[in-house]
Amino acid sequence: MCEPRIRCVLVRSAAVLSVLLVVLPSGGAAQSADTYRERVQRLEQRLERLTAEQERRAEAMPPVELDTLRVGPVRLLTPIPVQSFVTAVAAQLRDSLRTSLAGDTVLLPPVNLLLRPRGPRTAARPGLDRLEVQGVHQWFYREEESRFQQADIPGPVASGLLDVIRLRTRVMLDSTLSLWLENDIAFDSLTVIQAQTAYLELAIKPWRIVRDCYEGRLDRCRDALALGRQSVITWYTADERRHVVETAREWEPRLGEDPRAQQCAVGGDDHACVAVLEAYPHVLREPLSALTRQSLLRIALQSGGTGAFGRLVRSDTLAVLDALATAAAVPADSLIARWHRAILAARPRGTVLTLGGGWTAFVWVVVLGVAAMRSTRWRIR
Amino acid sequence: MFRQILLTQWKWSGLGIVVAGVAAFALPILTVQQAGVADPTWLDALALLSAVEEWSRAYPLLALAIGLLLGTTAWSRDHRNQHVYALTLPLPRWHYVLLRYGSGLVLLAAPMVMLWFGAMLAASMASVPPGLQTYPHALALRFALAALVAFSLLFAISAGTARTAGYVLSIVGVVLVGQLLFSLAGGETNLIEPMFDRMITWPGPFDIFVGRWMLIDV
Repeated sequence: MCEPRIRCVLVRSAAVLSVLLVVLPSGGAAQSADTYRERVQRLEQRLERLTAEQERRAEAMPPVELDTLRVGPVRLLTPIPVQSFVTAVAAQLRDSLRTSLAGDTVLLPPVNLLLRPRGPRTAARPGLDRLEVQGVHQWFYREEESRFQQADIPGPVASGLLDVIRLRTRVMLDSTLSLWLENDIAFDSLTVIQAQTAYLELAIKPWRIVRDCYEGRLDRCRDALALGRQSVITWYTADERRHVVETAREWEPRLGEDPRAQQCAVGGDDHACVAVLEAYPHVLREPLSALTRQSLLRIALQSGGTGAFGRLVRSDTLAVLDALATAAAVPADSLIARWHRAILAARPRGTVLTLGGGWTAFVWVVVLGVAAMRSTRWRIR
Repeated sequence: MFRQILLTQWKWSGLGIVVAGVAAFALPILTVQQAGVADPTWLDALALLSAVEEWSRAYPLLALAIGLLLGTTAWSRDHRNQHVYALTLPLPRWHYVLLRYGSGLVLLAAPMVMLWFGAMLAASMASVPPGLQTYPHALALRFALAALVAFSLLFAISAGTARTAGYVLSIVGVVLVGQLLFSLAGGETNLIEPMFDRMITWPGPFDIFVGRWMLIDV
């Protein structure tokens, strides 16, 4: 990779020039091994000298001045030259946190994030090339380098920082809740895309328990979300257990050596399937993914309004569902019902033509047809 | 009379119609290429949906292209021959336009039907994961309506006089130049975007083109 392009062009030009300088004085004749060795030595010495010079200059440079911007308990440290951009990012982040947590922002753990620009800033490219959030391997790039992460627009950067803060928030919560959410404390508002993804999972997953949940059996939703009885028997039917073991044999070598797995997958012995899944719990996944489980937290916090996050943090000794219900300030069953309604309502608009859409198109066809008939082409101009 | 006009229009645009028909038949079949996984998991289903969504962009484009082809070729010879043929016919203007429009609709029906057949064939061939469904009829109906809208729009524009076309272009130009001047003067109001939004959202004429054209969906 040669980046940025201007440097790439310069390096290539220098390489071509070097070749010309070497070849032309010698008239294109082959050089002897001794001459070649001498030349390489001289070049190596030159490289060493230049490297030492560069290091000396870097040490002599004054330390970069940092500005600190506060967003609740989050401190954004940033070099002065990009201060105005990071101020815009901070404003967006503040809005996002206020929308999600209202007054509970103060409950977040202190987070220090150092945002540093990377790459050359030239007159032709005055914006940020790259913005690094130090220590968390979070990078943002200019629009032309990536369609999804834009370093020169505050919104996506603020959204990325929110992801970092969410991950840091897990230290505040009981490990059971944190594990249930797979360490992503999704306290921000439920987006349309997230709700649609949850809908797709609910509509597509072939497991019986998920189908039941989709069809409105809320007790089964509770189990599918891993909030009720959690066992091999509750989550999967006998056929599904066999399917899980059969699939797991493809990636878990230990199952290939376990005779019970053979009995389960080939012989269809359900006792063997249960024994295998209990012996290797890592091959058994919750029926609904962490992303869908996180949608329940988001809906609980949304329902609970002001103070919901605080109630969640304070009820970390309760079971997961009770903690969520406390945060939402509604009974557990109502919370599950509310989640189910919200997710089903997020069904993506499909190809099924709506009556209104069809009629509108038809009306436009008629209108345009009538307009054509009223044309006055008899008069040629 | 209708037969003669239909035959002449077929002569002018027959090759295009054949190509469009083949494309319309092939498109749904290409869409379900990934729907052949035996015993698909839910991740396979998501991948399938994603592939179907990628292909879905081609449907409105094809409908638009067919509308463009038929809408413009319907009038091209009349324009070229200064409308002498139309003037020689003992028909009122509206009747002549109706004959041309009707011929265009008959020709348009071919790619519509081809897409419908292609969609039904693709739906029967595809191994669809549980939870997903095929929508061949809805897709074909939507395609037909979109092609009709595109055809009618281009037909109406082509049927007009040069003066009418000039008026339409002038309005578009005035809006573009106005927006440019407004932006240069430091104004932040965007005139074009809301107008464009009005066109592509209900009840705008292009609402039928936008959204998900999914042969397979939840």
